[in-house]
Amino acid sequence: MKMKFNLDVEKCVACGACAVACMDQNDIDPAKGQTPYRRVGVLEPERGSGALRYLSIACMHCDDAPCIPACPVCCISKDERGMTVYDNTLCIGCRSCAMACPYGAPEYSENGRMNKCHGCTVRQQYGYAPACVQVCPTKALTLTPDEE
Amino acid sequence: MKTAAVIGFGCAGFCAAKAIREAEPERVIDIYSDTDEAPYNPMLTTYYVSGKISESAMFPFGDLEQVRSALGANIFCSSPVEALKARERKIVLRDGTERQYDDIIIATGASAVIPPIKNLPARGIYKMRTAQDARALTEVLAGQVGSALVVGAQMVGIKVVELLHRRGVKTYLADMESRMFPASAYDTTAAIIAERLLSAGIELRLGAAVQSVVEQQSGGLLSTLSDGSTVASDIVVFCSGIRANLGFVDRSELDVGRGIRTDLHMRTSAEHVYAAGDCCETTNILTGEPINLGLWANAAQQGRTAGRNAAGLDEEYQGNLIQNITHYMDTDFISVGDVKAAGERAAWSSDSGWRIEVTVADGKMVALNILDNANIAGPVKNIILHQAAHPSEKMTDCAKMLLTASGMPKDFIAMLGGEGID
Repeated sequence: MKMKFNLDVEKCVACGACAVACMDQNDIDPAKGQTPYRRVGVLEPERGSGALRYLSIACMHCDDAPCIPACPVCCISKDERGMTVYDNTLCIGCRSCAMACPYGAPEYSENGRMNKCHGCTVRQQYGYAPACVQVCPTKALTLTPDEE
Repeated sequence: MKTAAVIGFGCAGFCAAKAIREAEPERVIDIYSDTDEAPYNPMLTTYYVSGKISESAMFPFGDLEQVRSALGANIFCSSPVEALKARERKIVLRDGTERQYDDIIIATGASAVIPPIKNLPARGIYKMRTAQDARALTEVLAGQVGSALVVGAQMVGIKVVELLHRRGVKTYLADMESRMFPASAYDTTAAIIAERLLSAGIELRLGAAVQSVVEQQSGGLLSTLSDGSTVASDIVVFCSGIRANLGFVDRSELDVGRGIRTDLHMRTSAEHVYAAGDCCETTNILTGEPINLGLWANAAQQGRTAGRNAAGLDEEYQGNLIQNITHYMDTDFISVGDVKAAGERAAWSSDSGWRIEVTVADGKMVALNILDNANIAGPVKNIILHQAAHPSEKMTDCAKMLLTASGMPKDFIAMLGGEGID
């Protein structure tokens, strides 16, 4: 079944728990300059009026993901859940996926290879929610069936 | 049973055949290739020569048997199409055989261009486009190569410079234009890039076209440039650009510019004849004019679009956007749009080292250069795409947050949002 990430911006408070869970799940070490695949941020009100808004963003696992045709070595593909997954064994670090992605999801590790949110596919295979969804205290971030 | 011919077997040809097969499991698909290999990615040739990937990795869809099996197609190797009767939807092979198809997709790609220099030596001259080119350069580099002249200061040339430099080869880089990346960099960006290359020990010969290359008695080559200087090197590698492969096309039957002209359905001027990839010309998203661009991702999307439309579906390609990203010698250089376009210019830079320069016309960004900030390349490029498709819409909250979180200046983000240059 195809799944999709959703963010209820009315509930998100940018607490950062999702980003911390992502670091924990994926052994991401900020001390080495690594950043979590999920980022949180604040949107200031336009022209100083209105309320602050918050967002949590990672790979959106686009239906027609532009990173897939952009990858020159075909590292990136879709799995049965619709997650945009990758095998970076052959990644050449060319940044073509970064150029394609509207969400700035691809990142490059010290060895030059791309990493990004894979939707915690292994967790999903075993019936668990992605780490970021699991930990979200306000239930702003969810993973639900993609009912087209 | 319906039939389709795919002329050419690179990325666009593969993606077209795949799209037809997915939509029409029974369709007969005949693919005509001028090689006996699976589709290779020209961009990967320099990575193979550098030793970063294996030879087989230059063929990202697999080897010929894997590709044949995946597509369920008849692949005619070393069978270039000699002529195309587009109105009759007939191809003509070397032996004069004619075959007619319900649909034809032209995906013949492009070839490397070597400048018209008289009497080039038989030895020591290389180019960089095909898998065979990569093998040839790899072979010579396995021997004694102490110096090299790379001709062409563009995306391919810089990767060849990088791999030679890493091997300890004394490297010269020449271009008839007077700056680095003449088609994609502003003067300011080009100057920074040139300075970095000089600091790394690359000898630049910009504004100097190669006029002659002669073999010396010592066995090396001596190149004479248009500025009067000479370069002695063991090899010369031409990376002087590409040209669409159109030798088989009858221009009285197809509308042709720098490539075969198509609409956004990848339809040519002949009914049921499509074109995709480096051999075609289609609409520039920013200008509305036809443009021929040789980019892997474009070829994949155009091929898929052509294939789906040939299969009776209705799909539109988004259009071409001039764009390049290259990562070399610890530099990320990103270019989007036409840097020669008229408009107001502005630049931003940071203490951490990144630099951005843009051209804004009628309140919209029409070109930009980014140095050393690949993370924002995708979001910024997609803002340009979004604004072209939806001129009245504002930048998305998501894009705004990403750029804010990436430390982009407020006036830069405001400019992207359509507020002009402050």
